[in-house]
Amino acid sequence: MANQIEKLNLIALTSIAKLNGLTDAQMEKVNGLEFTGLSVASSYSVASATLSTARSRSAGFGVSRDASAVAGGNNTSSVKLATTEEYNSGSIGSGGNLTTARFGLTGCGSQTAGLILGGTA
Amino acid sequence: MAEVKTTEEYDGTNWSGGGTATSVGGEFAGLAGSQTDAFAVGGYVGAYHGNSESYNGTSWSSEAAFPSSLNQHAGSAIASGQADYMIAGSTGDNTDKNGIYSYGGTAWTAENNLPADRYVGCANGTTGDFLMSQGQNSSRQADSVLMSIGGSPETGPSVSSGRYSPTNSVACSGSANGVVFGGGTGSANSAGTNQIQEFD
Repeated sequence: MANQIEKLNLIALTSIAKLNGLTDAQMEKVNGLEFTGLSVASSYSVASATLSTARSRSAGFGVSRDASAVAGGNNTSSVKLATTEEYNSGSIGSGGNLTTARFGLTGCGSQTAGLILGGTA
Repeated sequence: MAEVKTTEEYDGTNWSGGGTATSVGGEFAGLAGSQTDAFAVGGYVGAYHGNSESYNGTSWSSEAAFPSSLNQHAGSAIASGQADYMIAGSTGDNTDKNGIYSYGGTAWTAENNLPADRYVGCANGTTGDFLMSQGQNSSRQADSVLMSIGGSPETGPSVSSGRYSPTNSVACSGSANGVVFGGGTGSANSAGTNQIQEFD
């Protein structure tokens, strides 16, 4: 199941408390479109896995926590990094190296179709 | 060292060069979308600016410029690169550190402000379910803010220790199920960590 709607009359679903007196947990469809309810972030935890290289100013990308990655950045000696680490369902593994080491970059896309932009090289 | 506007594309195994942007990039630009439908704004390339561009997997095209220069903000989107984008936090001129803005494909809209200033934080989600957390104000911030277009910012979950410049959270289908990599425990990159944070 997946939500087939994101807004009602241009209003974000998270801004609507009830629809016709029903909460999101009481609805399965809206105008025939599947509605699985909302899952707004409510808690935080630290994963048991850790990165192989401590880093900041790196780029994260991926469309799922179970298939994501981090690339580039600075290590703790302020050395710019080219390495990529992949995160899959709680475990970390090595990925390919950027062609140009950089920090302050940004990323998007999926773990198998990722994109990074910019940074200081 | 110098700021660059180059891109690289990843296939799950190897990185290869992509199209070079005209003006976006450098340090702390915003980027969202996919490898073939991406949107980017701002970044420091010798100076702060508010230019934005979209990427089709091959080349970059100009989009509507942000109202001011941008630096060290946090942004996120998912539905389609340039049609569903939201950013929050610091801008380059340091006069608008608590702004939240959305971009719907043609113009920028100012949303309700963050409760407090911050920069170099992280964000994930969509314009309908957006989470910004961590980053820096006078000190590192551990709290987070939930936001949506037209909505009022609400308090989200707090982390045990806020990070300086972690990655943007990458699970962008909503505020939940996010993951954040690394980030500093001080106010500089030299204190980077290997911690992986998860939001549910």
